[in-house]
Amino acid sequence: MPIKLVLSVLLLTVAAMAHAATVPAQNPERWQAAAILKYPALREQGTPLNKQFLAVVAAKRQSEPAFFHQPDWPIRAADLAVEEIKNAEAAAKEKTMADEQAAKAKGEAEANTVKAGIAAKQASTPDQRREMDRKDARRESDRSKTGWIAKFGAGEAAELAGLIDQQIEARLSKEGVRAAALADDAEFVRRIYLDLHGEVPPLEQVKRFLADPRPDKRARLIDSLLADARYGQSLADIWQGYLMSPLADDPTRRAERFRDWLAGQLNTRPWNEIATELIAGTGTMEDNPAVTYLIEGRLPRAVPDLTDLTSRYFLGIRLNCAQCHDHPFVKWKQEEFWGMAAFFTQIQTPKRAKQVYEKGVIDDPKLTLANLKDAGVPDGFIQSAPAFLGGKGLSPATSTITHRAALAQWMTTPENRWFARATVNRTWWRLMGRGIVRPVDDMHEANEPSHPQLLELLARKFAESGFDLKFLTRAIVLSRAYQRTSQAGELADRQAELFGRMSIKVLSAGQLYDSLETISGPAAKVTGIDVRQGARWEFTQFFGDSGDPEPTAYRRGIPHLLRQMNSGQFTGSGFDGLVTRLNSPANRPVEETVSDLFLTILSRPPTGNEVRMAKPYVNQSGSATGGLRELAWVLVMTSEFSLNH
Amino acid sequence: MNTMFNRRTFLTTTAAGISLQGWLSRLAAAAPEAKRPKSCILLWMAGGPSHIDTFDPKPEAPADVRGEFAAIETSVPGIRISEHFPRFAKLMQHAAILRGMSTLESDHKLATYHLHTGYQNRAGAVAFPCLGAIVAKELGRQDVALPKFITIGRGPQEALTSGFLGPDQQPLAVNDPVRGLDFIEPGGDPQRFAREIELLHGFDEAFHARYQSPAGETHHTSITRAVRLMNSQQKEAFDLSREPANIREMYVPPSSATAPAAASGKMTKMVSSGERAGSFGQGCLMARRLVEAGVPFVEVVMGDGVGWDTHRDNFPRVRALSLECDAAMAGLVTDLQSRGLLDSTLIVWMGEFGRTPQCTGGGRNHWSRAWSSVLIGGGIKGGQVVGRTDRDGATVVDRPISVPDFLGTVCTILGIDYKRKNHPPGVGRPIPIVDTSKEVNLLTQLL
Repeated sequence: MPIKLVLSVLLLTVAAMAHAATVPAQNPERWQAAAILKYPALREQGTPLNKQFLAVVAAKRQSEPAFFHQPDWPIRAADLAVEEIKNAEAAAKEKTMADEQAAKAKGEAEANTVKAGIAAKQASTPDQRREMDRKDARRESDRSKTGWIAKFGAGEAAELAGLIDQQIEARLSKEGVRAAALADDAEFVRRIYLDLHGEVPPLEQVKRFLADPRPDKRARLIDSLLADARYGQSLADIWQGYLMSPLADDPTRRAERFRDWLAGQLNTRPWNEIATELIAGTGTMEDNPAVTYLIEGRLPRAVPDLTDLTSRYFLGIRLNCAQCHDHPFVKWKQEEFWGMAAFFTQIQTPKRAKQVYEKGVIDDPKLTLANLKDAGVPDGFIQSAPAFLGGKGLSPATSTITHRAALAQWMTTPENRWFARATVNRTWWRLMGRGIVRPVDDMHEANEPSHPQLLELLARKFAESGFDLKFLTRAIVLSRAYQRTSQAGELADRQAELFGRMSIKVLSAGQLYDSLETISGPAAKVTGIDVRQGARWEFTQFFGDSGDPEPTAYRRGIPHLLRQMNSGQFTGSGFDGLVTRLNSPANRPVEETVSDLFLTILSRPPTGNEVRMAKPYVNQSGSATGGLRELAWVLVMTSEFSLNH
Repeated sequence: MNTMFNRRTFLTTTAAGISLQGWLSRLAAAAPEAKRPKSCILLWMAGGPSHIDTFDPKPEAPADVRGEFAAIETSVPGIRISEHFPRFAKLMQHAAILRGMSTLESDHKLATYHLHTGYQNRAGAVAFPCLGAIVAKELGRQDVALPKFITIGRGPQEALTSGFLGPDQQPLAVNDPVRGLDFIEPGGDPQRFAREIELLHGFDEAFHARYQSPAGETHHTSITRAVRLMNSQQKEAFDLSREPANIREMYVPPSSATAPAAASGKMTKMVSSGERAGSFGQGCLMARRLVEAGVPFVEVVMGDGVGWDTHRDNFPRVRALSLECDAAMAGLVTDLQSRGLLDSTLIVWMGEFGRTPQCTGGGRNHWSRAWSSVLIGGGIKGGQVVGRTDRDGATVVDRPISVPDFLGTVCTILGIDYKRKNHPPGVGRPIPIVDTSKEVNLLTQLL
């Protein structure tokens, strides 16, 4: 790994400084970790952010010791540091811009290659342009880190969004179904934050977005969310769940390391490169977290399990039935399963469970399916040479690389018809709540896509983009299809099937945790909740689902709701802070605080009817703060809060 | 469209509850014992107890296999068990020891999953439900506000799952039976809570009118059911302070039993890591209260942390664990019997595997090829041993019992057709309750 992590040094420095000022309220490690989660650059010593952060801490120590009483001071300090860096950057840009504009005034026309993006740029004010350029600069820095340059920009994404809508709307009109109206801004802002950052938007962001009069504000928000490191982090959270077994040993530490690695990758690199790292990686988990997939994907019979996981998550195919018998409905034969399995045999060790942790993933050409026979597998391991799906074997050209590298190469060529389609379908499924092929990972001839041309279009563009997940995501969320309301209407179910109306998704355990934390601050320590392995880990285990639950299925019952209602993990002291913050000054009209509570928790202002219910409720409570706190509690218990609508 | 959100129904179900008096007398007046639907209490021995040091003693084996414990006679002539189950030995007529357990997994998590669900944990699209969830679904009663599957003590999270059966069958966990059920009482005072729930209902009603989301309606239903439990007298089943002292004492080992264990500080710490001393016995008592209240499946976990995983200090630790377990099991059997519930309640004692015959460095390692489990009550033919291991307890020489054989038998005892197939969403093939891909041989001698 080129980047040396100096997390501990930073933490020590910060801890020492904070201590000199005053000890922060609770759980300082957590909050430093949270600040780093928000701004990964913090953990590298010498980065501009890191330097600025230390400068802010030093300044606050002089000027405002009370700053460190706030439990989330590290995040606030990091926010301030980011703000200061941005301001400095903006000032520098402004100067460059002025120079450029002078040059332009001389009559130099810009050569336009990126259609919609440039069109927007021309229409925008200097202010907006400056912001856009800053985004470009950020993309620049991403490139310099990984050497990977995005082929397609915002223009191509907008163009693809248009093509998506053409296809979907043509189908709707053919079926005689009208599409639902577009979602209003409040519905949109909550949805896009949950889908791209895995949490509800902070109050200030909601207010700013709702008040923003600019017509292209949705595209702008999408751009800024995709450019933020949090995008890769929330996607990594999801993929770590797919690619690591819940039965893994020491799951928390390994999951965290793997997730960090995935986040960095997803923020800066295309999917084919990430997939190659995951499938063909070597070394120990410490040196190369990518191999966590190969080691902890499943224990300890890696060969059949990796075959199944790889085919499901990277190719959208369920081969596992063919492990023991020819698939009854689909063309997959047992020999195809074992042909794919043979690619993974070289990393199996007879005493894998122990050795692999110490020595890491090493390829040993002597290992084949024949000498790995496993009595636990029905009918044992069937001897087979490596064979790609469809029957082709290894070519002499690949004789110099490992079997897994050959597999990764075959998988990620643009000609591989499964790779792009699988990723497109899974991304669509996650964002739209419903796959073009359902179930999401069961793509075969007998299982027709609902929109075959759309699937082909997206797969082709995704491959053309160089398997750029951000490009694919940007195109989908820019489409009208994504931006429609999920409110009920005529023929609602049929509309949803045809993507003429947004499906209502359920907050995942991770989204629930991160959203509650956004609203009320860090989780409180509560008797009965064992956080020895970390509060977030425990929470996602408790509220989570195994496997790939449908995004629209609600899967929580009495145990979960009792805890959500009565544990006070977030709704206890955290809500005191929330209400105190919103309810100042002391004479603030109750309507305003009520409105802010709705905006904080549900990302929308209350309806007139809701104000008519909430206001007397608050007034009849013993105290205004008590009443507001109860109102906040009620709002996080609503169906609406549990959903991404 | 919105019929399930009728305000009146909502308030009635949440506020009325069911009076304890009515509930108890209805139970007392319930049909004769034979007709009572069966329940199951699973005593989960986390870590994998040594079969040789508990229910399959090997007095003829060499010393390094035989270990330090003597075998004692039980109430059934010819059946001998470890000397550290003295109380349970007197109740052997109710129990069957299965000495032919022979299973496929010897990693804790994989084996725990296998024994709980009946399937091996593989990558693949199917999230299998564990036994408790299966029994909850098959035997759960609608008139009981309590969840149908309850776990007591910190259990193996990854195996205690309802899998594709969904949230209705997900277990409610009691972390510490002495403290009672966490989060069953509202954070503030009950009147305030009632007001909050009413306001919540108003908000939800408006949302459901606008969005008509099945997911949202399920969320609301789950809240309603949780509130119903909070307002129900049945929750008193979680409160052990309502139990007379002499009954609570029944589940506690004699004080001398734990004293020598406490002498070694290091060892005590390991035995009790994360678990309150004696809480297993109190968990068994709570299990009895829950079964009495109509809960079809309760799993009581013994051995959070290291538990029965005695790679080191095998003998002092197994002795202490055995004595605690013996008191709890014997108390449970006696208590159930005195209430006429033993024939309708099947008790299953098992861990994820046994331990190696060879004792090396004072400990025994994982051993899944031959080990023991115990079934008690539930109307089985007691007083017998099924299966036999060789002189050293290393292999099964008579009647090997696979996981499907074992779970198929447990289901049959409980009146559940183990071949019945579920159709999990998104899987595309039916999944039988117990894996029938290989022949299942029920232990018919117990039925």
